[in-house]
Amino acid sequence: MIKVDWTILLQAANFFILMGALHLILFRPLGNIMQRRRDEIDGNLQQAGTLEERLNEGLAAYQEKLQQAKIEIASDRKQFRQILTTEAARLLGVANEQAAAELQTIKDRVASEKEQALVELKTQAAPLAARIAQKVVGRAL
Amino acid sequence: MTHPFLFLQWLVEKLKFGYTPEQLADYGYFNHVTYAWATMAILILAGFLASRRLQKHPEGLQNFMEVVLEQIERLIGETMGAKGRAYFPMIATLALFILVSNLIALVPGFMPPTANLNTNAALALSVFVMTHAIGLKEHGLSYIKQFTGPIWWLVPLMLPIEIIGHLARPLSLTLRLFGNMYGHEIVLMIFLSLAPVLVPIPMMLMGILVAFIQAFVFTLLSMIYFAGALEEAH
Repeated sequence: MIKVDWTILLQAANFFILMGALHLILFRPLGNIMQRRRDEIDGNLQQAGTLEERLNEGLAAYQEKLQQAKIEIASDRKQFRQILTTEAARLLGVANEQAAAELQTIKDRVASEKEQALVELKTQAAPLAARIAQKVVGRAL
Repeated sequence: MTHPFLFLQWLVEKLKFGYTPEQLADYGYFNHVTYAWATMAILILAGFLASRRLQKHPEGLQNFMEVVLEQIERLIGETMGAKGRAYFPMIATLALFILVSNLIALVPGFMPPTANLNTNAALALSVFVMTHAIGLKEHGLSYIKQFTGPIWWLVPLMLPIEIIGHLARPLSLTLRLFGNMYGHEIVLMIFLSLAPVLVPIPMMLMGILVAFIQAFVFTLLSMIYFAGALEEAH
């Protein structure tokens, strides 16, 4: 049993025949399909990486635009507030002027009506006093 | 110690196949060759069934074989680097052949071809020849520098040491595998002859471990020898 003989060559030949057979029917076909799968996975990973990169770029651009819009909105708000403040001050000034003019007109009219009333009172006071005196003395004056 | 019953020998003795009685009497001597053929048939059949209908999403035997080959490929990558992938067919065949040869010993009526010196010596010498073929292919004639050591005046010392070291490799590969498998067979035969019912079962379970370990050790050492031949001389 423990003896080296010519079957060593037969066993070596068997081994190389098995290697050739397995290479043809197992290693090569399975290796090819495994390599194709690896390539496909690598391709998908690369595609996913490109998409992620584009997504990040888009997100960065969006953030930049958002920031720009916020700055623009803040600037517009400031400008509008200034315009509104100026307009409000102008309208207040106009209103004050109108009110003052109206007040003056009313004052003038009241003064005029007072003058007229005083004239009328003066006109009516003499006959009224004569009639009161006549009634007091009981005879025509 | 011989096997009490070997299925293939019994089959040939029953069917005769035109052999003379003298030839049939000598047939038992070639059991290691016939069981190597049986191992080859098992592997080729498994390979055929695994690659018969290849699918993008593997199932069943294709999936199992892909896992096995991927692990061997990974081990080659780790041990030999990218250059080692070119020798995948030899390494994978060594691993599968030795593993299946060792494992068929656990089937009643079968013997492992690796429990014979001729099988193991054939495998070890194939590795030995391939190692130096790889070295010559990779480095040309400067491959000899791997045997001469780093300093020229050390050549008379280094060359014999290296040659003995390289010659010891196939010897150690052969005897390690042979000793383990033959020893396991002998112990199993003794246990079977003493208490054939339950006692051999723990030994057979240990046989599974031995089969895997020996296949791994032989394959790993072969890869290390190939990697050594691929390296630049110091």
